[in-house]
Amino acid sequence: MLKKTKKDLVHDTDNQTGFEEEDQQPEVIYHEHSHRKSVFFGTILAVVLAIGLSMMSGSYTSEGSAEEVVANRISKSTLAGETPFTDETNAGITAKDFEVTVGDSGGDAKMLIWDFNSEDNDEVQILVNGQPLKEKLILANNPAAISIPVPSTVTVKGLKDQGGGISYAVKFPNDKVTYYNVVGMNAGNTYTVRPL
Amino acid sequence: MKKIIKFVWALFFYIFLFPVTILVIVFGPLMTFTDLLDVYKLGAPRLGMGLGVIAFLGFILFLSMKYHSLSWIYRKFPVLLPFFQMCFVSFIVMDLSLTFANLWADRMIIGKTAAIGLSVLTILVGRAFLSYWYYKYPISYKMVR
Repeated sequence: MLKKTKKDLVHDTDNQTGFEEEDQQPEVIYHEHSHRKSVFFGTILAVVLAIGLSMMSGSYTSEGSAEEVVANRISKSTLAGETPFTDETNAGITAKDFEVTVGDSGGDAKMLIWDFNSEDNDEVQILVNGQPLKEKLILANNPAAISIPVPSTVTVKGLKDQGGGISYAVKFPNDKVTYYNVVGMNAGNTYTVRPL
Repeated sequence: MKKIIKFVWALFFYIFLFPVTILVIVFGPLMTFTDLLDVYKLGAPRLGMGLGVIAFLGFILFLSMKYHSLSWIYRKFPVLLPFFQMCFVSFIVMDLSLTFANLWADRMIIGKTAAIGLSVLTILVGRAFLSYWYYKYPISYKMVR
């Protein structure tokens, strides 16, 4: 018993020298230490989960710098809604048409479209086989989901440019591929969508 | 000298780190929940805050609770300590729930039903954990003064 008290005393003097001052302070509320501990373990859990999830899902950064990923045009690890650039730049890419092969689910496929640099409310029109599916779509950093038939030809037509060109990214979640593209005013990019 | 350093650090902490952290921790769960609803309503994924950022915010919160020189706010308003803890746990739960939603909306690894099931289950488990926690460690003031 006496030994224990001695040990505690030594421990207390140790604490005074270091930053561990909290033990000498009375608790503000009951179970303060427990509440604090839960925050600590929550932080550890979040770190572990963050590392685990990033290994599982990744992001565009696993393919190189923002400049490289956008210049390469096609990315397999971009998460929908990711914005490699925060200002109105696009690695100098030019308008391009793509052929897309998707594993369709019952003749339909999902297409996600978003603004991959600064959100400046550029407007586009989405046409499927020449027929307008969305008369006006304001591009945002948050992706918009569009259901498209497979096979089909999807055209993204530029309606309004708020400066810096209309740059956007299109992702087909069925085959997890993202295409970085730009479109001019009243011009169009086509995506020829074919089933696997 | 040590006291001055502590005071300056506390001042820096309360001016630059703490307000932003608390703002995000308190409103983060709500914002993530609206994002979660959007994902299922629109079928389009939403990027959450990310667990890495949440872990960083949690670390700052933990510092504020651990060190006496930084815990001034809890001595003034003791109820904030369990409140921030509750918000922080909810934030982790909501972000996990959103991750499951994105597994469907963005990556199509799981089906919509499975994603909704996992999202709801995550929130329920988180809620049950908080109920258990406050049953085990009830919030009550200490009458020190």
